[in-house]
Amino acid sequence: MSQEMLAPLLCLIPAAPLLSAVITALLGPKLLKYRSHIPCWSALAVSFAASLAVLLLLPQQNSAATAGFIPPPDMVAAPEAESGAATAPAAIPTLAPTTAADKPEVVVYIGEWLALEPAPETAEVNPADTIPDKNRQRSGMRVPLELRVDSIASIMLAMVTGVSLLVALFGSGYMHHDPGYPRFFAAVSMFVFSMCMLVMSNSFVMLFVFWEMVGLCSYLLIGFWFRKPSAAAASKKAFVVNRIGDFGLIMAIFLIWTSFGTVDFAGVLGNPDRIQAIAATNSGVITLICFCLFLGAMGKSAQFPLQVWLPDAMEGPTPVSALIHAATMVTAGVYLVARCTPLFVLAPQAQLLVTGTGAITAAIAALIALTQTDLKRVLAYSTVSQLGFMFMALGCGAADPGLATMAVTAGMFHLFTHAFFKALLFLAAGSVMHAMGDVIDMRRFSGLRKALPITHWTFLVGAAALAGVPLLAGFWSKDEILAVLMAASRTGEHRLFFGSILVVASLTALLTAFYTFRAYFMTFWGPEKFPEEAGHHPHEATPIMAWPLRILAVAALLIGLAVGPTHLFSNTLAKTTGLTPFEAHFHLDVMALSVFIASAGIGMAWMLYVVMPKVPGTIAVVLKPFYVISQGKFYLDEILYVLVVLPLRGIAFLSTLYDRLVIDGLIDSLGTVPRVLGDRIRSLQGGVVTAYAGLMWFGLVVLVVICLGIS
Amino acid sequence: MQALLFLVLAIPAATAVLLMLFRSSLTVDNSRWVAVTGAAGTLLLSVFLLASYYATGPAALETGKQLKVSSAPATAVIKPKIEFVQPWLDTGRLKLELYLGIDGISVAMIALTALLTVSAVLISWEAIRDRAAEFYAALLLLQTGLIGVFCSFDLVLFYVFFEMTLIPLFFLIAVWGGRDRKWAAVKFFLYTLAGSLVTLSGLLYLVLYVSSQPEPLTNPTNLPALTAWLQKFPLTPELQTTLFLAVSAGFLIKVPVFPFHTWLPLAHVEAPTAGSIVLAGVLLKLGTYGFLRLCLPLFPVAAVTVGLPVIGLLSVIGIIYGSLCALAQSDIKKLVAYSSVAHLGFCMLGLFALNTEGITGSVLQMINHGLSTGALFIIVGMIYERYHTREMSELGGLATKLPRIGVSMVFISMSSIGLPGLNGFVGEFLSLAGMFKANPLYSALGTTGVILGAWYLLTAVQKVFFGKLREPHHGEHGDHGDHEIEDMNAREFLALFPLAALCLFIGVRPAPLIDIIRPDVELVVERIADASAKAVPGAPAQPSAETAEAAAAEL
Repeated sequence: MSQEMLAPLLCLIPAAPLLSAVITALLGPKLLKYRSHIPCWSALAVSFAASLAVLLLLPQQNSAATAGFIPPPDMVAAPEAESGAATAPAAIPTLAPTTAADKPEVVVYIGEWLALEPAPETAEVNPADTIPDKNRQRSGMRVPLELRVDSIASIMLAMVTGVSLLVALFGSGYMHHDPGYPRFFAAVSMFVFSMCMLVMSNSFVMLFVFWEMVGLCSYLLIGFWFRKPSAAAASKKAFVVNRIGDFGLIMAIFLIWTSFGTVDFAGVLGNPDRIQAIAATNSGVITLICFCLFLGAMGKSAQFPLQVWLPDAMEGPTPVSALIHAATMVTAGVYLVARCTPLFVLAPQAQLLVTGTGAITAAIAALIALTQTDLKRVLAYSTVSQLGFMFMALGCGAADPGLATMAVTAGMFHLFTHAFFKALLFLAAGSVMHAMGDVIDMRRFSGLRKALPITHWTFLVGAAALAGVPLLAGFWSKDEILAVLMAASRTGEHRLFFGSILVVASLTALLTAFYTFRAYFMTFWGPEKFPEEAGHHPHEATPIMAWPLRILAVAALLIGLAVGPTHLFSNTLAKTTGLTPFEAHFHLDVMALSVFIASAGIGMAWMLYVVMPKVPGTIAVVLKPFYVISQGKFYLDEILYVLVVLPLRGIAFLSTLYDRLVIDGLIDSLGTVPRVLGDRIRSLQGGVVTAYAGLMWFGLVVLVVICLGIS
Repeated sequence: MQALLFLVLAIPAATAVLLMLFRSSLTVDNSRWVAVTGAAGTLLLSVFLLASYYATGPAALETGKQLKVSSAPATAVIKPKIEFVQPWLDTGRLKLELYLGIDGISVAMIALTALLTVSAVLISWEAIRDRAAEFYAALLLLQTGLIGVFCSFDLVLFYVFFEMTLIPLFFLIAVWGGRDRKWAAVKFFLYTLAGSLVTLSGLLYLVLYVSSQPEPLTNPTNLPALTAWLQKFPLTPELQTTLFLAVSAGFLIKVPVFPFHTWLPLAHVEAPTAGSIVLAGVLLKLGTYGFLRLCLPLFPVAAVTVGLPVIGLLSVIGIIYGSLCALAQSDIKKLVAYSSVAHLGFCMLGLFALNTEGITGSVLQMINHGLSTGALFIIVGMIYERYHTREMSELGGLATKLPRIGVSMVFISMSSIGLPGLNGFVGEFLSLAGMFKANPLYSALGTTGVILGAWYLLTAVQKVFFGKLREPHHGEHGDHGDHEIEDMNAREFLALFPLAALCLFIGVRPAPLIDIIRPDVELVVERIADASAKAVPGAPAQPSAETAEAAAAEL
């Protein structure tokens, strides 16, 4: 397959939603109105088709055959391996040998975005370049706008555009007759554009640009109903907390730039020799870079202690929660860490941090999810928890660098399956909310399985997939995570660490199965009860909402089976730069464990919420302190408020006081000096002639004395 | 081209004179039409100037070729690309010239000034009815002074224009300002004047010193000639430091760098909207521009030894402190004023990184801050015009009632907090990147300002525009009680739209602007690198330096 065919396809993936966003934003309010979904649907359909084509065609890409291809200046498709070879002529054997042949990549050059490379002539003229001065270093910042697709990106793209399309379909039914209908579709289109660009970026700076752009879309969509004070507050919180993570990412970019001299993926990640050389001379830098990168990932992927924004983000419309805050954007952090595997394998401390943070996050979020009564919040905490699972897996390379690929595969696989079943769960929850007149508190409705049959069975599939019921999507991916953790707990010096992480992961998986089915039973079982907002006959999802649910349910049922045990996923992913193909096995012991975990969790939920519905109340009373802590979300919001927000506000208040009283006061009192002096001197010129005469005499005497003294 | 350069300066001045001469016979409507014609004419010319400058290739390659031809002194000459020289005073020993010129940095700043003046005139359309002719005359005179600074390549001319900006702004604040306008105007005037007098003394000393040397300059106020002379006969590091500090004084206050900033919030709160736009948008940049044009090329060694550590630190403090102060404000205009302190901190941080990335970022930040903060002041002005309050506690949910203003506010806020894809990011990112190369700690501390910036500005957006609609009681303002509050009108849109469009353009496609700026930035960087290389201790002392030292000892 030739480059020339893939390049236009690549451009089409982000271009279509961008066009749709611009059209909807400009024409939506006046012209399109309640037809605003049309550009969005068509654009996403085009993107999805193009992504699928790229996913299928990319493996047939023969880089070696086109290596000599010289790119024309305007629109270019060049194999990345070429530039990688150009920047690293010296070949040293490394951990992750990459050969161009089995790492298919396509890069489309669109233009220069930021170029501060000095003109070559200028550099020639100056002969004093040999003088060692750090200001003389001329490794300019150059950030071209390029679209790059490799295996990991092609998987992400297919997932993102596919889920987006289904969510957009669902959204047109869900947002039916909302006054902000055009705004919704403009923002969703913009989001898909940004997310695709994030995935396809070819440098850390471009990644950061679109990392922020998806954050903007998230901000706009969380605050979609901006008249609601809680939505306005949640959107701001999401943006600011994410900025803390962005701080880390910026620092990482600067560190990469100063140590590698470039911010290109090809020059950094695709250049193992350079990484080795830097690690050899200054190993701390790589670790620091990884810490900073992970800080960025923590913000976007809601890891402890920056997870506080994600549950609040549920203030946005439910399709947004499904798309941005469950399936796609929040997984960008996982994608970033996975993408940067070549760096992380050299920083075991950073990997341990990744796993540890993931474990803490997963456990805390699962414990909170146990007692929440808001269906969407349960799902939100479950998202946080599942993201924790992905990070737990990603850090397993610390035990043994050989495990790195398996770890990344497990994490990415869970990301992939999670996108489908979590989007499904959110959309089903949205369908419930739609039918219940926007009530989402599970205490106010129950027994919906007869009133909402489609919603019921699709939710059940999603819940089963999340709980890890055998053969469903979540089963395979969670299984791989547990397997890699088990492998890590058997090798290397961190055996104890990974052993305890494995225990945490298993317990969290148990909790996951329990709280998921608790929510399911509370919503769909028990006596039939509707809130008054729903009216007497709650309506089942309209076809435009039901079909995305059905499709996603089928995906949640089958996708794990289709790509997991067949190794389709792992084999495709292994073709990414920095990853090595590995021999995957079936882990019967792990499988037995996870089957036990899932059935135990579901069984407990069944016992407590269907068979003996009185018992949970009793338990809550008996274990009151624990119940209160979980119900209160571990008071993390309050703790952060007291530890961070309040002190900063205090300092801010003190700063203004200091500004007004001390700094400004000092300036003002300096300003009075001339006046005070003037006042003193003015009294000498009172206009009294005798006083002047006296002064004259006094002056004369002084002069005479001085003259005498001198002579 | 030279005629164009002259006209850009002459049109606003002539319009101002015209307005003053016929002030008694001009109605409000007449005077604002005259003003907008003059301002628009200047804008048209400056855009033409910018376009032709870009087209005739002052860009990277051209400079490179120039360098190759004149490669004798190893570094390039800092010189305007288009110049207009007129002898003015010649005493034989001392020659003064009317030396106007532009390079890539100034041509961009001139265009910014012209654009913001048009917006300022448009936004004052209804608000200024009292002594309108004088108001617009002052505004255009201010513009003349600002453009004058940007195209002066002579120290005397530079200083004259620099001080000339004070007088019209003084009147703008003192006559058309808010409740506390007199005090604000006096404080602004005296404070900045005190600083620039120290600058003047520093420059005077330098000029006298240069003309008293064995090989004196006949035109010591000619900036390119002076720079070239200093390159040949470097000053001693001690003298450089002293003069650097003296010349910096006025600029430090003008920027303003912490802790010399307290005049700024006061002046902003009291100034009319048009005054705030020009004050924040351009006037503050005279400080940063002064550093870039005078302090760095004239005293390069001191810029490295004193500027980077000391002013860099002050800028970092300014970023954090300014952001924290902004966070605590309840008056939205004061909040924007403090945000200027923080943003100019980024600007100074980039400048004193003393490398291409940092200084390019800094110049971009000057322009970006002008656009986004100018636009923020326009929006704050619109709100004030409608509700006669700037207290955030009295306002809420305005996006419901004023959706167009709401959308603009979100857009401009995103530009101001440096969202990639909009202009603010490019400048901030390059400034911080440059500083990271020079001093990673300063850069890391400065980057926390990115978090705080999002916090205070989005809090303001949330309070004023989101949530439930809350408007101040109309009863307090009798004349507006039955006045229907309307969304942004066409005139206001015209004032705001070009700024917003440029914010988007620079963010998406920064390359053309960078191409205009970069060659001249590189000259400054070369100059600093060259001078600090020569000043490395242990290097063979150059005879010229020795003579200079001996001469300095004599003085």
